[in-house]
Amino acid sequence: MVYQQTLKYIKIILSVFQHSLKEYCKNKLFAILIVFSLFSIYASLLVGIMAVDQEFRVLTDFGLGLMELMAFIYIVYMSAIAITEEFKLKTIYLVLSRPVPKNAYLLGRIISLFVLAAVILLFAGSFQLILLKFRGFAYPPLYHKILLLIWMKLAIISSITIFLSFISTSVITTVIISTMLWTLGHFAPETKFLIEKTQGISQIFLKFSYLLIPNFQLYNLKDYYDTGLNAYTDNFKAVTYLFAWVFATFGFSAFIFEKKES
Amino acid sequence: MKNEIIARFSNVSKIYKIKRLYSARKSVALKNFSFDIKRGEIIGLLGLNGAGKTTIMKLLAGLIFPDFGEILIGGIKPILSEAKQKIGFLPELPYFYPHMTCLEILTYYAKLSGLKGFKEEVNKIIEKVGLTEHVSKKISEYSKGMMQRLGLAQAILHEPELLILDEPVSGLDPLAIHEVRNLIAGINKDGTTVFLSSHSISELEKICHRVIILSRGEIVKTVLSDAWKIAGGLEEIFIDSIKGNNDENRLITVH
Repeated sequence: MVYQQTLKYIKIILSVFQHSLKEYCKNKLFAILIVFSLFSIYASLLVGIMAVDQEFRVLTDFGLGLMELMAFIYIVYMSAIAITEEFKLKTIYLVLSRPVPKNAYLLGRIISLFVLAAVILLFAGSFQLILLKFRGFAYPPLYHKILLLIWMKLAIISSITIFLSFISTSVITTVIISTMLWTLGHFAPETKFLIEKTQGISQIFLKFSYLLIPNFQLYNLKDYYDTGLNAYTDNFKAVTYLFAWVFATFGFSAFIFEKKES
Repeated sequence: MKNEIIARFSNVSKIYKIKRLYSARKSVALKNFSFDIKRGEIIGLLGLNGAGKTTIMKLLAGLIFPDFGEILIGGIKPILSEAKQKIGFLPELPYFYPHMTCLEILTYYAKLSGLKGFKEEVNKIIEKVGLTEHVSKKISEYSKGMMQRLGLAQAILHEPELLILDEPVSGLDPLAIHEVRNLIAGINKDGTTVFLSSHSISELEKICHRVIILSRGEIVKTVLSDAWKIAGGLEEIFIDSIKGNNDENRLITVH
């Protein structure tokens, strides 16, 4: 009985996942962003050539930065509308009037966003590697690990955005708050430094911010790999931190979704 | 099983809270609403805009929850999966993903309904609602009538015991109305109980065995088909019932 229920639950997650991924990939914005990011990575060739002896570094950094930015824009937007748009268009009626547990539906949606982020990074990453090969450069050190860490950041921000979409008043508000968190999350070491230097209310405020804002610098290997500085990333800490954020935000989102009327 | 009750509303009230900056306004959508749906019948819900028709449909589909009272489908609360297995729901003006085909959409809903061997079922339903020719077309190319037929297809896909249709002929041309009406009658003939809401008196007259007249969240009259046949139509009965119930105030403001 429990086995059958679990199997049914997994089948629902898989159906929602497949359907959602198809929906995201057929979106016009997806095509535009993919073309734009490929074009931008290609354009980085020119910047690289201008950098003369630093061509490899510029080409790699520029491409990775663009890739991350494009993936971030699409993932955050898609996460912001993943559930809210279903409510707005009333397509959620046709799903929730069926024997579909809300948390299974939510899980299917989240997994599809994670896979979408991986697809974007793999696609753009392959293109960048082809360009590097074309320019006669070798495989950049730790490239696969850099992509994996960018994916982890995207998974965290995607989970947070879905949670925010349940409590914010509009898609724009959700996207703005997520972008702010994304930006502030890259200043976590600076915040930590300020905590040590300040006292009183400022310190309490900064400590609170440090806890509430995800530390994306944990995953920013791409900033250091070529300089040798902090090139080592604590894998265990990075994975644990990812799971903690994803599970916590999923828990809160599922709780709100369960109470929400359609 | 002619008089077997398939769904029951017992003293159901639903209040919507409309949030304002510093306060909330409460709008009573349903007041002590009680009625039964019997197996095998086609029962209609007739009322003006804002009478509470869609609220009743959504409550029955388990999409919203009652504030007071109880709703049971085959003895089970509509929010539970076992109850949802028994119903098929078509919302008013259903929306489908425009870049997908009818086959893709029905396959998705069949999987969500937990249908085994869904490919056969999907093809059977597509044929039943007359969409075989348009099966590979994208939804963006569909007319309103075709969308409504697709809506019906997704609702009957898992052979529900109770079919809930919210304004199934809203916005359709006369030919499409005729097709949808025939489809509903056919589905009922196959043994499915149909519960539908409409603004159109003539539509309900043509298809229903029983009509509930609703005004401001309350039942004002239940009319059997024999009664409107004797009276020469449902329109006079409806107007008299609504006029008699016009003075009540249904908005309570809470600060």
